Amino acid sequence: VQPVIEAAAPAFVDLYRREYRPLVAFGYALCGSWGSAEELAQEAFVALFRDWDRIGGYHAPEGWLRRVVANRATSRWRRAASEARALARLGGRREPVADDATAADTEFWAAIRSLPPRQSQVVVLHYLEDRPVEDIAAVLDIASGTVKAHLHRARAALAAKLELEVDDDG
Amino acid sequence: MTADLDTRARAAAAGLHRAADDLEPPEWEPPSNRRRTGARLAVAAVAVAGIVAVVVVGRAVVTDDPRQPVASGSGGVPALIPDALPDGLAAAGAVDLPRPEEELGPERMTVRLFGDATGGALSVTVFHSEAAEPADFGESTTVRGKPAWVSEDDAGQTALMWQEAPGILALVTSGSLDLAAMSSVAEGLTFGTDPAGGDVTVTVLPPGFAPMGALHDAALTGAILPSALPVTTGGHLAGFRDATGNRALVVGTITPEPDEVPVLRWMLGADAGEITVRGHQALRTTQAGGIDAVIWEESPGLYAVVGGTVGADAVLAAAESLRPATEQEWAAIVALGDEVSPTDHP
Repeated sequence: VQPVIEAAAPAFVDLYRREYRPLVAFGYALCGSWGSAEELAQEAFVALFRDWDRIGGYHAPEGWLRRVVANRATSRWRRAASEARALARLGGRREPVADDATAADTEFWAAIRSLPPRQSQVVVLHYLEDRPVEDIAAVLDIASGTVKAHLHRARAALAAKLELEVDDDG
Repeated sequence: MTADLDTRARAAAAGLHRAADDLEPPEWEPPSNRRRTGARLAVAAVAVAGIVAVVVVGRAVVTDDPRQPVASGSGGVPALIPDALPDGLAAAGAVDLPRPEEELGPERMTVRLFGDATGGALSVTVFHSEAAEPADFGESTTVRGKPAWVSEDDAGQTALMWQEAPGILALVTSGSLDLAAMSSVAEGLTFGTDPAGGDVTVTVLPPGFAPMGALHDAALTGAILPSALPVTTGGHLAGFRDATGNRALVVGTITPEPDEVPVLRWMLGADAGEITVRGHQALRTTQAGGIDAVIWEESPGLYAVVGGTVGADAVLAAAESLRPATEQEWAAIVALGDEVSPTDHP
């Protein structure tokens, strides 16, 4: 088994380098904290690394990473613990993180986070990652019809909350 | 209505991607096999500890299985090992609980949990860390005359955090109380001299709230699940893994304190289903990361847990095949993994 892992390592590192930033952005959209988003991303990569011989063979392991982040971002305790650890790391390292001001529309992401968890996950994958319904269904391991229903409700709720127009065909 | 949702969303997404592009990913450092084993031990124990709570609270023990349950006798908590070990796995190490004080990690926590009749919960956590100063955590506020930060998640849970003193972070969370009520709780806390926060006292509680439980001097676990592991009660954890460490199985016996159970349950919120194991009504769960775990009350006060990344069927087969290890067997497994620690951090 060891040669398989050794051969897979470069692929894992490539995936890490390619997916780290979008995964953190995904985490931020769900939890609203850059520090926690980085912690969630790191945890997801560690979990992937430890099961790489199985999950690395998936068609889209980056989707699996997002499912891990989505699951953990909706757990209050895991989020609190991630925040505590992020806080500790930030305090110790004093490394800069992304600036909220740069992210600009914090009101929009806060509105998304006010939705029920599954709706927020679906709408983030739709808007932030521009994923089609079938792709979102695969990432979250739910039916395409369920994705469509969540997306419809989420867009209607966002439009009402943000006082925006919504195109029902969008 | 003044603008289009999709246009606003596309602009917001572009802004968020730009912000993320400024991040510099830390250089990837694969966790070592040694740490991997330790983390898995801890993770499985924690994952299952949450289910323990459910068992304790609501599940009766079925006793129609012909096998004699393994009891916790005067000799202490029995160490269990599986006869049906998944293909390719071998013993990697084992630890005995409680852990000696000198082996506990630098990050430890004490959690106090309160609840009301409506199901509302309030937690007060004192997090002992070597962190210097907090920064960039939600919105800024002030608590106890100190800078504090507030964060609300998508499920409506609010977290209020501040640095009480060098090395001590405090966290108040609730999904039902508003920030003003949480701040009142924070203002009413009194801290003693215990560096792990074990002697913090909650002097102000919102109306209707009462203590539900406490987790004392727990150790934060590794990277798979950012949670806490109680290490001050008796038990045993044995780890089994393949040559790469990517497939692993953990078998444990634990004896949680009664007041720890509600806290562990609250921490995990385990999404568990019922199943019968060894004639006992048990609960099983699948955690993020593909960790399957099953737990049951093997005998009064003694809980057995089996968890791993080997698939649910293999986990259940191992659980059904548990037996007490002989002293020689257990000593040999412990000798294999004397570096394994439940507080090992990747």
